[in-house]
Amino acid sequence: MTVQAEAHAAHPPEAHQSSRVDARTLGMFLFIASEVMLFGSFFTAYFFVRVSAHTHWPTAGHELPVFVAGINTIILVSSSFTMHWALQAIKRGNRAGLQAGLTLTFLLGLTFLLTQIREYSRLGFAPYTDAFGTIFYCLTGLHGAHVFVGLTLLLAATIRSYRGHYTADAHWGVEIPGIYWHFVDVMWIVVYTTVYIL
Amino acid sequence: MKNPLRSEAEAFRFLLGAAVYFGLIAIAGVINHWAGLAVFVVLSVGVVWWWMRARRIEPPLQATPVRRGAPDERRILVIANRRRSWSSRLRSIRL
Repeated sequence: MTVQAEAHAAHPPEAHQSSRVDARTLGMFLFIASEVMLFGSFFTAYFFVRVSAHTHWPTAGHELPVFVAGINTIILVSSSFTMHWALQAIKRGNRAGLQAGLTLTFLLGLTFLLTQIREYSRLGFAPYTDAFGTIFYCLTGLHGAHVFVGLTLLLAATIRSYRGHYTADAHWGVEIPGIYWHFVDVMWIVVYTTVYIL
Repeated sequence: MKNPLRSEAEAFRFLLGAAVYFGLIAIAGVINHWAGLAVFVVLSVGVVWWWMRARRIEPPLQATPVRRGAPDERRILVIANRRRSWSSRLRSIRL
């Protein structure tokens, strides 16, 4: 065995990279870029339906729960604060802060998702009712699916945090879901503003 | 131009910025539709202008290759930018 091979017996040599951005962060960034395009196509459909309706928006017979959705927005944005708090805590080596922050983030996200599902059952219209119903459920449903994926990532990170997997120097498993979670929250702000408020 | 999602902390700041951006547009839009449109245009131009000018200040990457020779090994860098004979090049090298 050569000297170089012996030096790398335990693990392969570190891969060369041309980007300043860490490969894991770059992967998440590219994924988010594709998600932005996906949401963009749904928003295009939404605005097309809205502009071509030529009537008051939302169309007659559609009362959206603006207040409940506003409270849900506050809950989701709050979960970004707890996520940020969790990561800042582990960067200082505070494991209890990490665990509390991740647990709170998960619970707030779960509350948002359950509230949205409950609101679906009380809306009074379905995806097949008309074009508004279709695009409303598509947009909010697409976002809800992203919240579900984010919750899955958060659950994995939370369980790992209770098993002592993260340190002040090694916390990629929290950093990457954190970026995703903030993106999901930003998309909800866009959805809430355009669909519920304006 | 900065990538706003390069780290969790930057993504969090991006979220706060998005909340302020859409919050102002929503408030103006509820008051008056044209006011909402005006706020949207002004804020969008401002954000794009700021984003195009934003630069990330960070030191260059360390690109020093791993030293493979002995610690006391001496090396000579020869920059041969003219066609010369080998003997002529050797005479030019001064240790």
